[in-house]
Amino acid sequence: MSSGGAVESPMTAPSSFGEFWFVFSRNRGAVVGLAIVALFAFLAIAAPWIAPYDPALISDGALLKPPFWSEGGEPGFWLGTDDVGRDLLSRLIYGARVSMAVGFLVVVVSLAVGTLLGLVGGYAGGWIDAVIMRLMDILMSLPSILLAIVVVTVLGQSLVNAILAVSITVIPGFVRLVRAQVLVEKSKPYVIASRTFGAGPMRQIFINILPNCMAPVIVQGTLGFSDGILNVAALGFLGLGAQPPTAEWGTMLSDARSFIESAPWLVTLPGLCILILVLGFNLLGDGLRDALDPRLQK
Amino acid sequence: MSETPFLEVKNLSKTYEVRRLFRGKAFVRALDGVSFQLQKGKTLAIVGESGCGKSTLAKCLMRIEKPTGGEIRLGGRRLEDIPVREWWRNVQMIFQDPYSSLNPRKKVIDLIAEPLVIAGGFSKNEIRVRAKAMMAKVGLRPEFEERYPHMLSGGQRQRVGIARALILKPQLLICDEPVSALDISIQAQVLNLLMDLQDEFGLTYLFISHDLSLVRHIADDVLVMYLGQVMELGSREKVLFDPQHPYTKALLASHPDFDKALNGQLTLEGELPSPLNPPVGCPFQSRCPRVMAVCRERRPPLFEVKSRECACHLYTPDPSDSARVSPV
Amino acid sequence: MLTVENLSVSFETRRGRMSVVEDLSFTLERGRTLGIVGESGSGKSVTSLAIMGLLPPNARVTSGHVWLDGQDLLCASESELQRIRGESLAMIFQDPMTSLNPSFTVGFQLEEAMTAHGVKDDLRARAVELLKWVGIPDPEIRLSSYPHQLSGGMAQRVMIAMAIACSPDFLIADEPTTALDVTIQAQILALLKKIQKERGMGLILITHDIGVVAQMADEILVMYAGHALEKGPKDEVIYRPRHPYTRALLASLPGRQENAAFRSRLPTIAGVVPDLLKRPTGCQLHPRCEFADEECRTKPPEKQKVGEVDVKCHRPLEPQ
Repeated sequence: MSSGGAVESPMTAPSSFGEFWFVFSRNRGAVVGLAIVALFAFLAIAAPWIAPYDPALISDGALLKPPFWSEGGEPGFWLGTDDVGRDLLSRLIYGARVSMAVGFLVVVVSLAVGTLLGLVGGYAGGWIDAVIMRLMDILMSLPSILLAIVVVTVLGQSLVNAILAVSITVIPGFVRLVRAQVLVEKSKPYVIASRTFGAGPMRQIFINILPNCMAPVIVQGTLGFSDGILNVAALGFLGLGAQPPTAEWGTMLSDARSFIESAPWLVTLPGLCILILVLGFNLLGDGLRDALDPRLQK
Repeated sequence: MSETPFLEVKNLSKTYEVRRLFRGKAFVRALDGVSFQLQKGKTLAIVGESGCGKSTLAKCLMRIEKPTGGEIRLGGRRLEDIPVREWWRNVQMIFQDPYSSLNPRKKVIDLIAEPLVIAGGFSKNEIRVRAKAMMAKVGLRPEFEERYPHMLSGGQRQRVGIARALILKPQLLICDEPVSALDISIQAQVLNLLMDLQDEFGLTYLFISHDLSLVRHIADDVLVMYLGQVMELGSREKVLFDPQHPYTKALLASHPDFDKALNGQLTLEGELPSPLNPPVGCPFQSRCPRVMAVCRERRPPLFEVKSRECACHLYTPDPSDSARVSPV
Repeated sequence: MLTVENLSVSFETRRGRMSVVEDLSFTLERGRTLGIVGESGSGKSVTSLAIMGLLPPNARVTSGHVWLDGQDLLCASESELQRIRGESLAMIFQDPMTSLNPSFTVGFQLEEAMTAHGVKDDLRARAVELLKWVGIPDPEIRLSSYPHQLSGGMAQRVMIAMAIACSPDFLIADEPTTALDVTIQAQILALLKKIQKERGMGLILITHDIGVVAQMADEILVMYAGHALEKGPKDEVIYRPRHPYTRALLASLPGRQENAAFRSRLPTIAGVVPDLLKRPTGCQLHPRCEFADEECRTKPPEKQKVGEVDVKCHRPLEPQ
């Protein structure tokens, strides 16, 4: 406390957002990650206006056209067409829509359920905590993709079910994180003080504890985005996720497998999209972690 | 005493069960038969080293912990007969650490208003008016209303803690080391504030502190504790200026005062015993410079010596046991 | 002899460069004790880290020298410093528990401290000797204890044993007893005093507790916002303070003779410690000083000698 770095600066402490942005913007990777995520988010939202074609539109005379820069490419199809003559660029742009939505839904579902279970388990303790944590242990002991496959097989093959399945596999991470955070916050004097004013469990959990647990949850949520996107793409690749003709990157990869030599762009480009978007979310998550976690600062 | 004491603690005990890996359960007697009385408007200081039970005592009085034995009475009524919400309207607490005792995500005004919001029955406007009035009382300027705790200095945060504790107009305030985390130049400010508020609201203070100069300055009565037991209890003049118990004497001798040179002979030997394995007989016998055979066999009762209570065999009126042995 | 000469240290922070120590000078001879007193942010801990060459990476020494028997430590190479630390200079910290490595036994860490400086023979015997010396009962058994098995006072004794393992000439103790109970504090202070006397060591005792320095120090240096406001023999500083800050600080302590009246209002120092990124102009104390005038507000005071005492103040007080 008495080291020179920990000087009391009562009057000029910067706002917490300013502080956060200062650290975040100095992290080049994080800014790149944010740019990538923002770009894909824009593509997803603006897909109907910027995509040159409908993603399901089949152009009869243009099967397996290569991208415009290679020999035989047509200027009308920038990134070429697939085996049934659909414009690859349009499909990739609409694919961003699916992937972003998938990531978002996976995070929302797993974050909501996971945070709630973590809060309840951590605050209540005792047998409630034990039951929740053992359930999570069981979920975590199964390989996540296997678990997702089982869930999809039981529920039926569809994108929505794939999202649900992947969400379930991501939940334990949130539960553990939130519970650990709650255990720390629960014993802090401000929570005890609040109790002596008569605060009940609802107020304690949602007004006092939850906001102080959110920073790591936001970071985990960002990383959960990439988990979600990867796993749903993997399910799509296995034919268990999005069903044709939905333009989904994993499904597109799977469909193009047989053309890997004759039309390599059909495999490369969706794969690249997955790679870049997942990388973007991971960079963003790491940057958020550095900026939000005070233990890593200084 | 003729009138009913405002706070009366009788034979209070709190035993914690400690589960140890492979070694079965153990018990820690954090409080062991503690009794005292506190008159309205007075200040009682609880003094002792870590593990002496002063924090457990505060928790029991705040009803955060349930005592395992004994009795607490407030204004003559038993603790069990007072609903916990009503209790908390009368008894409040200031915490030692002004950093972790305030929710970092709340503004000053909301922190101070929180007890009123929880208590219910006040309009939004009323809550705001009362919170602002309390801010003025503790010397926080109006511009602090919208600030977050991390924008305040330690002293200002402690003022927020005091305002929050007082907003329900409690009668008894438990101050758990309220200034020990503050810089020296700020401690005097907060102490003055606490004294002013006591005069203005007629507050009763239970003041937990390890700083004997501070206790000497503000406490009417002093309770010295060691390993959960009362060693000496009496008025400030008696306990601090004419101590009888060897432990009180040692505490006073160890206290760094600059008008006295470090005196090697007066410092205590040895360490605090583990509360899991306290000494048999008197808890202080393992370190006492005047230990006798009887101290290792029987726990000394609290006994009135020179107008204060003192638990030491030196003053037990049964000389047959008091054969002196050489100090350890 | 350890001499700090015009030392200034600043930190690069997110909000700009923060100067934490400004133009600090003092001299300490072997066998003497210098007490450095100050509030949080006064720069007292940074000073000790600068002397040891242990400043964090975002800190820079902007000017000054640290002379140890004629050698400038600030110019010494890291390997030279490693030799000097332990053999000539040693340091103990506030929290003994976190200063010891929890994964190794006391004996291992103690022997490690010695082998690092080329001691090879009789390690175990020397370790036992050291532990005995710092007053640890059953030293042979304690050698195989892990830090978590020690009490705070024991851990601080082990830290002291490690610090003096290679008989350093100077020991810096940064708040060595702040985390300890009073009766244990008295033991550790007595131990430090004994070691110093018997080994003729120079001791720098950094603390916020004026009572502690008053008992231990020959000389006292009062720091505020990185400046040495007052430096002089203990009795001069404590009983005849020349600087308004020192006097106000002493007066604000409860239990002092002037305040002995029960429940009397304590004299206070208004305001708070300045933000080091937005230092006041002139004297650093002027916003909180009752004697401040125009000169104090505009011109930084130079160090001046009043009797035996160095004071940085335009209006040094007459001793009362």
